[in-house]
Amino acid sequence: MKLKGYFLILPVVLFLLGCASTKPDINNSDGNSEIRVFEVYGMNCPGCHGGVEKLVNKVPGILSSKADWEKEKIEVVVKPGIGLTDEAIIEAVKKANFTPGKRIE
Amino acid sequence: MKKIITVIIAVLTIWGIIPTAIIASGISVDAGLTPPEGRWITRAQIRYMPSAADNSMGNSEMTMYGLPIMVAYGARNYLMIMARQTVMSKDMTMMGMNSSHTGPGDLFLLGKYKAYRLNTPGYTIGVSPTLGISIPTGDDNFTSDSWDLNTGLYISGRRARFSAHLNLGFNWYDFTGDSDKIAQPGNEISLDWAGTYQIGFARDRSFAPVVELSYNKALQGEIDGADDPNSGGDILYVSPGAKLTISSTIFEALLRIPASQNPNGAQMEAETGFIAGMRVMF
Repeated sequence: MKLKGYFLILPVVLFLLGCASTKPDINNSDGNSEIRVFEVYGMNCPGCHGGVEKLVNKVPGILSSKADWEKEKIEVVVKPGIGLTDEAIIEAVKKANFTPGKRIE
Repeated sequence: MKKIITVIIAVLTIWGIIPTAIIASGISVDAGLTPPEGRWITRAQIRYMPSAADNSMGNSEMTMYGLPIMVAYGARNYLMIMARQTVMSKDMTMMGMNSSHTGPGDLFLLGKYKAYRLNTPGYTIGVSPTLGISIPTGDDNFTSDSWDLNTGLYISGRRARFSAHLNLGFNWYDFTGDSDKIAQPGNEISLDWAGTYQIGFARDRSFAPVVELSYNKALQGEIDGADDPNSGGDILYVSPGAKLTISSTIFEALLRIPASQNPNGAQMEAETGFIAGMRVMF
C-alpha cells in the first residue's frame, strides 16, 4: 500500500479506538451508592480524565468515577457497606501522577 | 566543473543524510510528563516537509512526507516507555530529473523518567529526563544506518489554563562507531519551547491554541571519513497551531515556518511545512 493510503486509514482507525475508549457517565442509578468527591491537582485538559478514572475504577468497591480538570475534582461512586477507605482512592490518584487534595463531599 | 561537483556532492548529501531530528520535535514538544501507570498512548502524524534550492543547485526541490506512529506506555507512574516507527517518502527534482522513494525509518525506542513533579491548586511543574536509541532497521535512504543515541531533558510548567514546555535534546549519531555508510550526519542539539492555552467548552472537550519555537543545530557531517562542507547548520522554526481534545482523543495541527536558517555549503533550504495528527489514550 502506498504511503497516502496509510495517511487515510490511520486517522480513521485511531478515531474509532478513541470512541471505543470513551467512558460512560458516572453511574449511580440505584440511588443507594455512596458518592465521594475529592480535590485533584495536576490535571491540565480533558485528556487527563481517562488516566485517573482508569486507576480509580480499579479499586475494589468502586462502581465508577468522573474527573473534571477545570473543577479540579473527581467524583467517585462507591458500593455501599464494604468499608472502603479514602486512602485507597487517594493512592489510586497518586498512581495516576496527580495530587489528591481534601475530600469535599 | 565546480558547479557539477557541487551538485553531485549536494545530491549525495541530500540523499544520504536525512537527520532524524527533523521528525523529532512536534506539537507541545512532542511530549508531556510521564503518563499514569498502566495508560497507553497511541499517536500518528502526517508531516509535510518541503525544501528547495536556487539555480546554483539546478533549481532543486524536494518534498518529504513522514508518517510517525508511536505507542507509549506508563510502565510505572515515574517511567514511560515508547516506541516510534516512521514511514517516509520523498519526491525530488534536480536539474530536470525526477525521482521518488518510500521506505521505513529507523525504529526508535525511548524511556522517560519522572525526576520531579509538583501539583498544586495554582500550578504544576515537572522535570523528566529522556534516553532514546535509534536502531538501524530502516531504509538507508532515510536514515543514518547507525545506532544513534538521543538524550533529552523535558521541563513542563502549567498555571491555570496556560502551559509551557521546554525540551533540550542531543542526538549522537553512530555512537557505537561501527556504521559503514559513506555519508554520516553530524551530531545535533535541539531546543524546543511550546506554549498553549486551554479553552474548555465542555467537561470532556477543550481547544488549545499552540505556538512552538524549535531550534536545531547540526554539526558538520562526513563523507567517506572526510568533513562534508555541505552538511550541518542551524534552523529555527516558528510554529503556530492548535489542539482539540475530545475525551481521550486529541487532534493536533501545526504550521512549521522556518524563520531563520543557516545551512553550511550547498544545501537545500527548508520551506514552510505542516504537521497534522491525532493521539488516542487508553
